[in-house]
Amino acid sequence: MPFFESFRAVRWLRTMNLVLQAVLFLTFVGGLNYLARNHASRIDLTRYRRYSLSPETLSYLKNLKQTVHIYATVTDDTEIPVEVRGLLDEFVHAADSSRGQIKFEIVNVYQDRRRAEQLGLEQPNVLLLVCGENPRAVRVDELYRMRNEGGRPVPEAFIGEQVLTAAVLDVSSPERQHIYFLVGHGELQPDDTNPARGLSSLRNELQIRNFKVDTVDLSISKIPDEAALLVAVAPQSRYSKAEQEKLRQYLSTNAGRLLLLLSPGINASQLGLDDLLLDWGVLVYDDVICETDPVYRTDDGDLIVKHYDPKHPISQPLINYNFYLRLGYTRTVYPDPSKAAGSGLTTTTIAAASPTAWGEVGHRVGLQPKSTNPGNTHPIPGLKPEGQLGVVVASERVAPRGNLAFSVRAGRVVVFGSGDFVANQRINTAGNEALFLSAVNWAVERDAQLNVPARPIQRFQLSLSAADLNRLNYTLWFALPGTMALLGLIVYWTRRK
Amino acid sequence: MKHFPTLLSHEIRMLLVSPATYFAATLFLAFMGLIFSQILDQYSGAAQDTSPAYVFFHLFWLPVCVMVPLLTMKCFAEERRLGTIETLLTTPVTTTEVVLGKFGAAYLLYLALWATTGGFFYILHKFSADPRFLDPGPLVGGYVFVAVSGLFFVAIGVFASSLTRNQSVAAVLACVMLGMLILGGSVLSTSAWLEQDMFQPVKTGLEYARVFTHRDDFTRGIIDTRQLLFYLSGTVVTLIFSILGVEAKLLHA
Repeated sequence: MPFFESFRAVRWLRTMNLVLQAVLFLTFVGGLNYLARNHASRIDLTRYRRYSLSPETLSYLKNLKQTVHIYATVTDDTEIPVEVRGLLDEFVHAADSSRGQIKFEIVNVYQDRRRAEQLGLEQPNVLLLVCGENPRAVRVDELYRMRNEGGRPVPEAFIGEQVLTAAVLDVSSPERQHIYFLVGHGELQPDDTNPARGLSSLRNELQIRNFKVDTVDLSISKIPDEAALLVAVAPQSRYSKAEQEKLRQYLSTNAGRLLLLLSPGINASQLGLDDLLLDWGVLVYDDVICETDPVYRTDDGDLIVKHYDPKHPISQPLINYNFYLRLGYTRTVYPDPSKAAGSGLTTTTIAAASPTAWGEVGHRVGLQPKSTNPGNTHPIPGLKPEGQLGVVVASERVAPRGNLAFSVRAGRVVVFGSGDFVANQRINTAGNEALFLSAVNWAVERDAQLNVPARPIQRFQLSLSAADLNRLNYTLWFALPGTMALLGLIVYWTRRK
Repeated sequence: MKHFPTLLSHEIRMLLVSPATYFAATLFLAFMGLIFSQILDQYSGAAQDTSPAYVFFHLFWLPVCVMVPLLTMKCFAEERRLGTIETLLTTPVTTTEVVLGKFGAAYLLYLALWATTGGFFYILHKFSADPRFLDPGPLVGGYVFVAVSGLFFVAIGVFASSLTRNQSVAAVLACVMLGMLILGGSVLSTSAWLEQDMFQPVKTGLEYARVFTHRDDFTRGIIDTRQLLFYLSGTVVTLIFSILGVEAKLLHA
């Protein structure tokens, strides 16, 4: 009998048929799942639709043109909070159907050193967004609105969606905001690695936040059109009339933004900035703040600043995280009380020295520092904060627009009474870095809130007495298993009978 | 499929009248109760960011890897060892009906076991008198995950049982396959070699099939249609493989 007519051949043919059926089904199901990847919907069962993205965020993500990689750094001991993880997942899913995508990866900065070094990440609890060449780092704690509760930061609301959306828009935008550091007057420079006078660490921090950092010498060139912010750190010599005019024009006509870090030792008129500062309602004193209270001084004589404006956006990170500022030589900076309130100018003292501090003006003529020396600076009555000397002042001009009912912002200036607090050796103080970056964000309006609601934060704690907790445990251990065992016994006895 | 209800009710009746079922259920509940009370100890010590349901369902793999092989190992291995599968299939029932009947009974028992753990949340609610502990998102999402993923897990157990005539081997095989499905995706998708561009489709596929990622979504209260499809299609394929496996074994018996 031919082989093909034998039972053996038929058996193997039928087996092959079964195998082919299996492959067919597998291919069909694989293809179905592949198609389904791009046509999915997600249903949020949570109360208040906690994980659903707002329509604004969804529309941004659907129109994403490039792929954004998000790297979350963790260590063994830290976990990404569930809200953050959920939010990142929703971002990844929402961007799936767009031309660009969001890819998410967790990097353990201690175990996966090579990967962390490749990305330039050293700290845990950071989200690094990278789109093409544009990086932007966001700390996980920036995703929460915090409140200070007895000196401890406590999360109040989750604002992760608006922060992350803003960051995604920022990195995926082809334009990077330019920050120009002024040079040519002995200012501290961003490419200098010197511990005392270099700003290289600050430059790195700004670059990782997707700012382009450059320098400009106003004596030989004009202020670049793309300048989002100018920064002058501890200038030592006078700005010429032409330079002053460039700055004035930039701030007024172009609604420019300027951070001035003015070290003591040279007064505003010697720098040629007195008119400009007067125009922006800021008084800068020629003094050095002295402090007698050891609570507000470090061992090596640095000044500790712990008093901040409770409402201004610049001071919020310092208040929420209970950060302090560590400043070297510092001078007094105040809002000008004579500046008319109707000028459209809003000046605010962001940070102030302790109530025991005074501004010593006799330090250069050899007088022993004493709060009673003649000419010393003391708190100005009627100005906030009461009884304290200001060290950082923010000024914002809002110009009315014709007969319209709304106004437009016409420039922002922040003046710091200390120059080297952002130098390499001091920038690592959490408060210094937070204050400067917060001032940068405010100046370039990166703190502008998208129309995305904050989410409430739920905390679960069982408030039971020890006796009640014991009763609960015993109930969990024995009630249900006991009932089941009883049921089993009944069945057993019934069947035996 | 007219004999399917008959086969299913027979299988269920056999399970309900067996004291072994209650013995297994008692052990399951005692074990889960112990886990739940350990979880609640954490909530008593300090405020937590997530609800107890979220943490409870995160440990789903522990009972799955033990209970599913125990529930399914008998399905075909025992029938084949005793030689009753051939007898059963000489009656006017199809292999599909038999596989679905056994699968349905095991799945319903699996669901019933998990459903009894709802009692833990009721007890917690009674003691704490705090409605927040019954956070609907993680609670409903967690049970939906258990129900949907259970289809696939039980189908894998049935498939393992269809491959061998030895119950212990079937249990071990099911345990290994479940372990590979639950843990394998997570382990492989984080492998360094998958970072290469040529393996990106493999990585995407593994990430799509990561059970822990699905669990995270469900227990947060998010239901994704892709994940539902993954489990439903996985169940269908595995059951088809079981049917083909039984038929192939009969063919070569």
